[in-house]
Amino acid sequence: MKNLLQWLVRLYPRPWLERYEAEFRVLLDDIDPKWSDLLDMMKEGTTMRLRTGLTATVLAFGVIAAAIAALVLSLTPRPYESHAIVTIRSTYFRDYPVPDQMRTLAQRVTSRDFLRRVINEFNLYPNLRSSGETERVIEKVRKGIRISSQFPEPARAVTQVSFDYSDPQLAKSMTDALLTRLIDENIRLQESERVTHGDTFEKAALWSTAELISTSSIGQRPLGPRPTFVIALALVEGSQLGLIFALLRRRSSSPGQSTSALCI
Amino acid sequence: MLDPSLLVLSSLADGDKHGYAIMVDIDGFAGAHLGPGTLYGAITRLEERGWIRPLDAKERRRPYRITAQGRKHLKEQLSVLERAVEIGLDRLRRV
Repeated sequence: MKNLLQWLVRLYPRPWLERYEAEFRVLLDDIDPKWSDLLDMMKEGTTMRLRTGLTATVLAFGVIAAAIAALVLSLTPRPYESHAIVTIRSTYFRDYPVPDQMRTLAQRVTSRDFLRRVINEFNLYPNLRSSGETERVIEKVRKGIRISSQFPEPARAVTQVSFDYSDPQLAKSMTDALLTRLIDENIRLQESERVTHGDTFEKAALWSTAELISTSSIGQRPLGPRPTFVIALALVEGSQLGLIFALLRRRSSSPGQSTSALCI
Repeated sequence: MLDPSLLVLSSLADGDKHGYAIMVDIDGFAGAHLGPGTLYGAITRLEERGWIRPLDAKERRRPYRITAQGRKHLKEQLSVLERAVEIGLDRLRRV
């Protein structure tokens, strides 16, 4: 029994052992051990381990993760989203390839020249522009644009155009500009096809027409997790990571484990 | 039911003792057996709070001494307990 109690001493955390191990082992030699002492040591040793290194590591990881989440949230303010819906349909040809047309239109709407022009017009990302990072601004604006289409019929597209920006009014103005560009480019596309197809197109007048279903909205915060939720989640996930880290570190630094490993 | 820290402080109130002596003493005056884990858990906490301090070890056994702060804390706690005991006993007598 005494040997078992002596063995259980390894349950205690290393910093505690450095201070108390010698005298604690003498006490274990002195006493007339009982089974309850065995349970008592297991309980106290485990509690002490949890109370010292593990808890501190878990808490530290959790707090650091939450702080990083808070920092990232503060540095990247959630943008406002403005969106509008337009439908484009061909009333003349039932098999008019509207999906192909929409792909071409989307490319034209996000063309470099057009974006450069609207960036200047609306003074988007002024800080980046003043530092001469024009290409980065164009990429950022391009990322903020979403043009997604659904095709309920072969010759009909319902397209949502949206733009994300840190200013709600500018988000709306930009969405308006994108819509105008989309409609203009639709007409231009057909004019170029008129030249290609000549007489056939003359009969059709306009192969497809654009109709605005809902005008662009003032930018609104997109639905998503609240910042407090994100920070709380980071705290929990960080704590879990801290727990894994603490357990792995303990395992690798445990003298008992190293000895076993050497014996093998 | 009795707080191990309070028992250890009570044991050290009449002089320095090492772990085993504290354990025997508590068994004698309180009839409570403190396991070695519980005893050293209490010693650790009391030392952290500055209520006891370790002395030089003699034959690998380290005696502990109650500090002035520890004595003050013990007095306060025992006063609370004394009042609780008095009231409890009084109420029992009335029933």
